[in-house]
Parts: sequence; C-alpha cells; structure tokens
Amino acid sequence: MAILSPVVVDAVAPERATDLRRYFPQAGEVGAWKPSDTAGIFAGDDLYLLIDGGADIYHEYGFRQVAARDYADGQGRSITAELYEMTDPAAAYGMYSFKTNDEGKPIRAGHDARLSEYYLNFWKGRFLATLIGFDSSTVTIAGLLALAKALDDKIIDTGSRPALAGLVRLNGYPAPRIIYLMGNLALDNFYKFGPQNVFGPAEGVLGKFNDFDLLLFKYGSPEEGRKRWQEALGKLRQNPDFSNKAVGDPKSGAGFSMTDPKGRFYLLEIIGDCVVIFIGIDRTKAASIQKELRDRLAPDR
Amino acid sequence: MDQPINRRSFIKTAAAMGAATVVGGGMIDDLLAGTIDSTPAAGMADIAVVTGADYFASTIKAVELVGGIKRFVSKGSRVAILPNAVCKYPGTNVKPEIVLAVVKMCNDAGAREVCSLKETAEGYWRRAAEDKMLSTHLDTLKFSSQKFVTVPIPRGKKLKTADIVKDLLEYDLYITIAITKPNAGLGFTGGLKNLMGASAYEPTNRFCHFGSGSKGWYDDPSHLSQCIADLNLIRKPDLCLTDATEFITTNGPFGPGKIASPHKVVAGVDVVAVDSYCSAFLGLTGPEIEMIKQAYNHGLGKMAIDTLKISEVTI
Repeated sequence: MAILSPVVVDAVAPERATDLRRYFPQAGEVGAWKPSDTAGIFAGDDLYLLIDGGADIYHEYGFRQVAARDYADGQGRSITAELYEMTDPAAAYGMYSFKTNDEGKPIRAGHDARLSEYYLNFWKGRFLATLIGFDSSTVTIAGLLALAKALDDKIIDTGSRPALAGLVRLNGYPAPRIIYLMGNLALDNFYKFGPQNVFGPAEGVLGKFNDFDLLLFKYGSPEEGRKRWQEALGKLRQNPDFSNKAVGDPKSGAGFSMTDPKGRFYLLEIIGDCVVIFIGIDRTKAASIQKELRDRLAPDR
Repeated sequence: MDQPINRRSFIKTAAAMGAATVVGGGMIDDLLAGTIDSTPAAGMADIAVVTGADYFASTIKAVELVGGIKRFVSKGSRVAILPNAVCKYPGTNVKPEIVLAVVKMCNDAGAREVCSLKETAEGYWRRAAEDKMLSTHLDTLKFSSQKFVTVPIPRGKKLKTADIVKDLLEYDLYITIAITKPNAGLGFTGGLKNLMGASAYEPTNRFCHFGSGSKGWYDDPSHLSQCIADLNLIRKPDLCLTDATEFITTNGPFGPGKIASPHKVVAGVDVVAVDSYCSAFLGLTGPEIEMIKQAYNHGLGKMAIDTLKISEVTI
C-alpha cells in the first residue's frame, strides 16, 4: 500500500556527490537501535518523492540531497533519521532555523541542536540532521540523543552562522528566536506582505522578541537597497490588506508605517543596505532600537 | 488494490491515461450538484465538532450530529473515501480510527463497497491491522486501481481540465477525510486541498504548482489556490470529515513539527465551511486563506462561520 518507497538515485554529479550513507551509524554503534532498512537517497528535484509538498522550502534554502534511514530498537519503537546535505552552511543553518523556529530544548550536537517533544534537529557544516521518533517515551528520546551523537561524530564539516543572523540581537533585550530567511516562501510562513515577493530577492532575518518582531532584509549595496525599498513601498501602498499607511512616522522618524488586518503596527525604514521592519512594537521603544540599528548598519551616515 | 504503486508508476499511469479517456461536462454538473441536500433538517448541525479521546467513537458521533450515516449512504451504494494519509510523521495523517469508523458506518448502512481513492503511507495501517476490531473494518476496505480520466472544468478560472482518479466520478458517494495542518505555501491543508490527492501529478498537480511559470512548488500560491478551488468544481464531497485530534502546527505539511491535541473530529457537508471552521485551529480564518476564499467565490460553500449552526459535543 505504500507510495513513499525510497528510490536510490544519483542525480548529484558524481564528482560532487557525497555518499551520505557513510554517516549513518551501523548496528552495534547505538545500543539496541539498529538500522531496519537501507538508506534511501533523494537528490535534487526527487526530494518531493520523500516529502511531497514539503520539498520546496528546502530548495529555497539550497538543497543538494538527503538520505533517510529507519532504526528500530527491537521493542516496537522506531526512529527515522534524515540527513540533508544543503548547498552550504548558510543554507543548512537557515533550514535548521526555519524548521526549529528556535524552539525546543537546546542540546549538545553539531553547531546548534534542539530537542522537541518527539524529534531532534541539528546542523553542522552544510548538513542538517532531523531525527524523528514516533513517540515521546524516555527510551525513544534516549535513542534520538544517541543517534544524534553518532551522526555528529561522523560529520567533520564545520561552518558558522551567517553574520546577518546576529544583527537582530539587541542590547538590553533577551536573545530573540531567530529565523534566517533566504526567500519569500520562508517569509510567507511568518508574514505576508502581498501576493508577490514584495522585498525582492534578499537575505533576511526575523528576530522574534517577547513582545515584538524585528525583520531585516539585506541587499548587495545601499543603491540596490534603495531601489528595492522604493519598489516595496509601491507594492505596500497598493495592498488593501494594510491600513493607516503613512510616510515618515513623526515620532520615530521611520520611513513608512502601516497596520495589518490583525491590528499590528509596522514601522519600516531603510538603513544603509538593509530594510528594517518592526512589527507590533511600541513607537517609543522602536526609537531607541532604531538608533542602535542605525549605528550598527550605517555607522558613517 | 491491484498492486503497490509508487510515485513514479503513479506519474506514468497518469501520463498514459491522461488523454485516453475524457469525461463529458454534463456528468461533472451532476456531480457538482451533489447527491445530498446540503440544507440541514431541523435539529441537524451544519458542522459537528466532537471532542473525545476515542476517535473512532467521536467520528460516529460527529456524523450522527450532521444527520447520521443513513442520510448519506443507502443500501447497495458504492462509497469512495479520500483519506489524507500519505505522510509519515506524527500529526500529519488522518488517524486510521477515523477512516475505519467511516468504513464501519458505511458498511452498517448497507454500502455495497467502500473504496479508498488514494494509497496510504508505508506502515499507516500497521496498528489498525493488529487491532481485532479495527482490522475487521480494514479488511472490507478496497483500494482504487488508480486509473485516471481527463475531465473538463468549464467554470475553472485557471484549471480548465484535470486528470483525476476515475473512481471519484464513478462511485455513488464521495467522502473526504482530511486532517487539519499547516501547508508551507497555502497556510492550511484541509478538505479542499485533499482533492489534489485524487488528481494525477502529471499534468494536473504539476500545472497547479507550476502552471503560471513559477519555478518552485509554492512560488505562486495565488495560482495554486485558484487551481485547487477549480479542481473542487469537479465533485463536491457528500460528507466531509476533518481530523483535528492531533496535528502539527509547524513545518507542514510533512513535519515533524509541534503537535496540538484538541482531540476533535469535525463533520459537515460543506467543504468550504468545514475548512473555514478548521482553519481556526491554526489561528487563521477562512477569508485569510486564498484557497478557501476562491472556493467560496465559486459558490462551493459558506465561508462565514457565524452563519452556521455548529454543534459541539464532548464524549
């Protein structure tokens, strides 16, 4: 009855392909947990064979291939391990941040790792590992942690978070939940600015604070930033979903302000090569953060 | 089920059958009218919401509240069901107990056969097969041979024809059994989106995703939303069940993601209304979801929840 049979494919050019199967622990390496199938590998567009409609977001971040393998403990419990090879560490980190939404319990594995109720994610170098248990029993959680350690030990890649991800950390505020964005699909899952891609192709970061969100899009140069800013303002002005649109907020000095259908207040500003958007923030609080961001993003202006 | 089918053979079958058989528009008009009067009788709910830990019992109760299975299934009728059960991880598939409760009710009402229009994920039935009561009902469920026909959609705004499972048109009744969960591109997955499970990837689902020239599956959610609304012009479900027992609220549609557990089964005859109601489980409203809005614009159902009679029961 199954339609999701793994298919071994070699869509990655042989000289660039990494054999992901070598990273998976073998029987005896993680206690009672033993592989219960052979690793299926899905490369390029064939990712949809594994995760159907969930594939697009991986492609947006930069997907190369994934291997998936099931483990069983002999007592009826099972874990599926998915190891994604992304195009570079930024893509792996971005997908990690999108999938975890910076939620779950931080644990030690890879560069960053989070354990949620029945699954675990970590990223390391250009790799993202997702381990899924089918229950949240102590035995399964221990299995997830053991498998994560075994995978982590075998991956020797390194990488660092994109610099942009650090720009939404603010003095005097607790560290926000950070989602690194590399396209409109990821953004749309948090904020919809219109039917089109309003802010154009841009690297972005969303910082989720306790009582407001901070969005930042970075362009190739201040000139490109200004061009995209003007285009975005044009589209936002025409979007009937937003109201109370005003150029030049008198209190904060921001370039544009508006209110969304849920009544959330938006302040938008261009600073250097970045478009900065505050969502749901008090105007007075925004003014002090704007100064910090202006000093950080365009110190010479 | 004739034989196991994977996505590759599925696509090949669709491609091979696509132009081979074409169904006339008159038949579609008949199906769109529906076989069930969607106006509830006195005391009958537009939407039933049953909360409880026994999902099998909740499903039976929910159907009872919208008129009982005999309102829909008559003796000797052939029933096609479409469960959303193609993913693997917790909170991404309709619970097998809900599907099998529908099978049981149809059998009890004298249905000649109950056929699933869609294959299910590997291992989906494992637990049900080990349960004596559930396996009894599972044994009676047939699976579609997955033959596709091309049907015109004269009122479709974007999607003018679709290749769909022939059995969708041939069975007397169509029951959609969806799950509430997020979708990275559409925001929400429910009964309207579920019908894509009965259409061929090539050419139909591919057109829905890429037909406007977009490069990614969700690059043009407006086009996709309109296509899904158009697709639903082919046949309205006679009965809609939606699993809101346990579902992911992040990383949809595939997961893994955070799980919400309202333990609710939702039933109705209006797929637009049921989707609109269920979108609230994800903090959304019907009008915020373009797919629901376009289906409403097609006249496929009601979107304003406050105009509906909703019966909420805990068992």
